[in-house]
Amino acid sequence: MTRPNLVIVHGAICGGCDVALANSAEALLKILDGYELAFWSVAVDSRLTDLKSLGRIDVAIFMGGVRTWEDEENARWLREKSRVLVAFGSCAAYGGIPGLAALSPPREIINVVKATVTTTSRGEGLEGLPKLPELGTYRALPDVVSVDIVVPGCPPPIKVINEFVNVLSKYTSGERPTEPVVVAGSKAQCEVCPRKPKDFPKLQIPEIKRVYEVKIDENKCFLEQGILCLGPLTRDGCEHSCISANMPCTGCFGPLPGFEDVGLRYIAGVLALVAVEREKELMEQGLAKILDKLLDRLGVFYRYTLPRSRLYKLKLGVEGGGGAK
Amino acid sequence: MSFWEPKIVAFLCKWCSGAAAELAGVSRLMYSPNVVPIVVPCSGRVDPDLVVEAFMNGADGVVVTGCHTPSDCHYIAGNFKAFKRIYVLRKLLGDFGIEPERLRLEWVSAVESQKLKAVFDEFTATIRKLGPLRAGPRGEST
Repeated sequence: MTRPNLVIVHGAICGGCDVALANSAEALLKILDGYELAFWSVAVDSRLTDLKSLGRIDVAIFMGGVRTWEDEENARWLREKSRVLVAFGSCAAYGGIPGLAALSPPREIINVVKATVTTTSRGEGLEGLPKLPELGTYRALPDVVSVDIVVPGCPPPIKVINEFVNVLSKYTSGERPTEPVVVAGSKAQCEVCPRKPKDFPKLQIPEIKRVYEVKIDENKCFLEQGILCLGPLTRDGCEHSCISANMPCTGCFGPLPGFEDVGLRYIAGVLALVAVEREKELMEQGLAKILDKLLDRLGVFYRYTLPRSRLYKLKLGVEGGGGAK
Repeated sequence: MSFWEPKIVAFLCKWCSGAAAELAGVSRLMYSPNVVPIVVPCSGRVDPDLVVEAFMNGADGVVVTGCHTPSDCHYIAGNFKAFKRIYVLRKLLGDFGIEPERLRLEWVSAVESQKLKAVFDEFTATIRKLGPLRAGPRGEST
């Protein structure tokens, strides 16, 4: 009996997801056992033409965001040919770190790269390199095609990759999930976080501090110490590597089910807690001064989810639907 | 020749600005017809999502009005919550390349119908100057 085949295709990616998958040992062995690895450009000698020569694909894993026209073409082609399409890693699922560049026009990005990157080749800047595919509107995979399984994480921790392989094994015999399966918890990070605030209903953010400005108490809630943590809005299911290293959650597991836009929800729910007890004494000017300390709004709210935010879609709509579906 | 007219959504709190709007009606004050008032229980109830929803559905500007600070709010401090949210949301709009001037927060008490009229008229003028939020024929026809 022939094994189902599996391909791993990249969009805009740093390579961390490949390393995480290669590092997952047990999960990788299960994949190699159960599937015919037909395409994985970082591990198996294969070219895009080999991929395109496949008649049908059982499982396609897409890593990275949709950045170039080539990525978009690949994504659409994969959707057409494959039974189960997986968005692997936060870039594919939500846009990820490269998604932060979605607000800069492609020309500007290319100009910065050309002006600052040095190569060992003789040509100036990138002139010596082969021609790169043109940049398009940055989008996360689910905004381009429908996906069947979402594996969040930057990169997905081993626990999640194991779980993903288990999920995948349920769909070996010809069917696909009826609606997208997200391989993560559906509770908020805060619910499982060991740093519970002392008096939860009276939780307030006294002022906004950046991580380097304060010696973080390992047992206290980050918000109580003025460090903006995305825990209240982020799915659980990770191995808590940030929180246990005394760093706030940055939201790589994406928003809780039912939430579309992390930033708007964060403003509504969490930033309203800033200096709650001192509002009448500080008045608007005082509150504004505290809120002004939040400089990198996009980096705090949308570090991994910018291309899926409502504001990004509003911006695309405003600009004449460059990315409208 | 363009037939574009600014579309403005106003969220008025029920206790102060909503009452001011009623008073404006009774006093036969005429304010700009571009403004569509929506009365909500409290300005602190205006979720940033609602503002973005309005923009996504064709609004060119959104104005939120509530009770005066520090102590007019019927719910003690809802107006401060509104202030914090709108303050950050304005900056966030700017980050996404949308003019923050399209969103405005004002305090209007129940007797200040004149101020409400002034705010609406002024805001309409601002939006008229900024032009439609959406470029192209889509913005003009909707």
